[in-house]
Amino acid sequence: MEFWDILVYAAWSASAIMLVWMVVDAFMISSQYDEEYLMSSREGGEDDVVHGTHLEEGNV
Amino acid sequence: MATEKITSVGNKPIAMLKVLNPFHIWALGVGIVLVGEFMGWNFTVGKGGAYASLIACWVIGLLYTCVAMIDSEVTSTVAAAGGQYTQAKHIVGPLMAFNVGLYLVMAYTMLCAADALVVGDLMKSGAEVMGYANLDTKPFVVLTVAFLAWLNYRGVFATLTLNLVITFLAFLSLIVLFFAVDPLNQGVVLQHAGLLTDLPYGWIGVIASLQFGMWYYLGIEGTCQAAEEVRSAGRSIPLGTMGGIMTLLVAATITWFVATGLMPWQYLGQAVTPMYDAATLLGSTQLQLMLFIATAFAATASANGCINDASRAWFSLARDRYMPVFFGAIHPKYRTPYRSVLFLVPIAVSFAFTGLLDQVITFSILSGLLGYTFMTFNMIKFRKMWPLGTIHRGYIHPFHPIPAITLLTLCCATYFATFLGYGASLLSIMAFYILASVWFVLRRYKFVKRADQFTMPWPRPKGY
Amino acid sequence: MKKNYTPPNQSMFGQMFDTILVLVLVYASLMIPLLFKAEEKAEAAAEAATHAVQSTWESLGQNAVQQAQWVKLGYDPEKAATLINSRFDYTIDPLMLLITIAVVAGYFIFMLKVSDKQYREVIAEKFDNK
Repeated sequence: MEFWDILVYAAWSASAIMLVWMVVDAFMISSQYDEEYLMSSREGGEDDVVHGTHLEEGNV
Repeated sequence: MATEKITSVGNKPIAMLKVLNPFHIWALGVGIVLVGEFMGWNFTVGKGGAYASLIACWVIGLLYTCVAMIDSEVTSTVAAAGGQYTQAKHIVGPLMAFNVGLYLVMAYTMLCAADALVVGDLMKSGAEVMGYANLDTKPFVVLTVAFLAWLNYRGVFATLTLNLVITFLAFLSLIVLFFAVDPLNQGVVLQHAGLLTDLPYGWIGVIASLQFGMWYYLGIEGTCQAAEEVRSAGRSIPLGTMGGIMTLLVAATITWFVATGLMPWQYLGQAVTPMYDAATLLGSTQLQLMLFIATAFAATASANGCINDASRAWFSLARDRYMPVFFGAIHPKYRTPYRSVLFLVPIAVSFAFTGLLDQVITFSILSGLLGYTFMTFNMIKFRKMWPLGTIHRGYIHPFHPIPAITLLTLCCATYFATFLGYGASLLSIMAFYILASVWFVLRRYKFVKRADQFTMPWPRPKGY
Repeated sequence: MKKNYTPPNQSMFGQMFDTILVLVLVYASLMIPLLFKAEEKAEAAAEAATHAVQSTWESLGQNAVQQAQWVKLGYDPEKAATLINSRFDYTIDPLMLLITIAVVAGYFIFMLKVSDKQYREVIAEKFDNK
């Protein structure tokens, strides 16, 4: 049946387009932004409120 | 490029977007796991018979309830991408953390490969029903992974909103199937009386079936990977995880009840898509189509969640330089760990193309199991080093240390279950983690900044 | 006061090498059990050849309800026999069991020991050298 052959080609091409798009985008980002900035995220995100405040700091 | 590179935006470090709510967490957790009710859980039937499968379903359900309780307490305190990896780093130590990070990456990447294979096989059987034999599954496996990676690359909100929709629909289909078999009138559709047999292997078969019993729930603990992207993580993650466990206990029991009432255990024990087969047996085209779509949705949701979790874990390892720092980058526009997402695509596809499905699944299950073993002493140490009251905990689980001890006991039983029938795989996977550990100690750890690994604003731990 | 440890920066080549090394390890551990499996399969095939007798639902021990469901699934006794007769072997080899226990336990003990040592270093740097 014709339909399934076309579907196979469509699946291959759609995958290729998405993969190429991601690779190209990743390269563009690397050329536009400084590596230091891209790597600057800190663990736990920005608001340190969620994970624990010191309750009894001196109590060690 | 002639222009200067952008070095900062608004003088703030880059971070992932905090956009998720508890429903997304539920979708991430249940989404990964629910495919297990459509395929894979039934291998418990093969290892020990139908009743063994039900016992495994509940015993392993208890294991996961312990996991969820313990994990909720630690995660509500250590809320960071990387989940259990970050917990290990703060509570046990770097080598343990490295191993936990690897467990997560391996468990999720391999599960993702298995899911993509299911989508491929489904397309093939769909084509067969419509009169086209021998459809090539490869393009659909690649398409599944590529599309989901693309979604993950472009942002977490759309990714997990999609998961919420398709997971809910897949869950709904199980409920519909349950009512379609006329559950209150035995003998009309369901034939439990004729089909259920005594334990074919005796009680040792029950223990052996615990191994695949994990398939009913494997991956629910991945919810804490989203900690840096969810609003008020300390509350949302325990809520989403506990809700997820309850959903899965219901779904698993329904699945067992319907499937064992329709198929002889010897068939069920090796079926590739048991729920789709169940619908086929009922002789209704609508049900068959519904289960076809639901199975595809469940597999897609699972692969999607797996890419999400595996990339967060890989990203966290890289951010601490446990793994090459290159992967620790965040996309300035979409705010996702885009390099990790991209890196996992060829890996997941290559796992899928090895054709070693049972080997890949065993690797995934064992990596999960090693992670749960870690949770037991993680919990004991956590309460010892920071007793209640010394730091703020978003959630405190009851009956400590009973859940930890129960969990350790059940983990040991599951190792033994894996030994029965899959002993060679067990040893070869242990060899992998041992070699990787030695490599980490001898070569990798020298690139790690010591004090920087400890990021929580906690007081000095007791005894150190 | 001890000075903080400053790690070296890793070159791009080194990063690539490390990534590939981990992948090679994973593939190896996926492939190794296949060697054992090939052996087992040969044994099983030899055994199956000796059992090749005409199967009926009765000889397979299937009751009326089970037979009906097998037929609905598209199986005849011949085809179903391969599924029904393939069984796991749960005889325990005590030596293998001991080796497995030693490996799993040894792995965790080794890891906890090394982790503890590394962890003390982290804590010392974090809280002593501020």
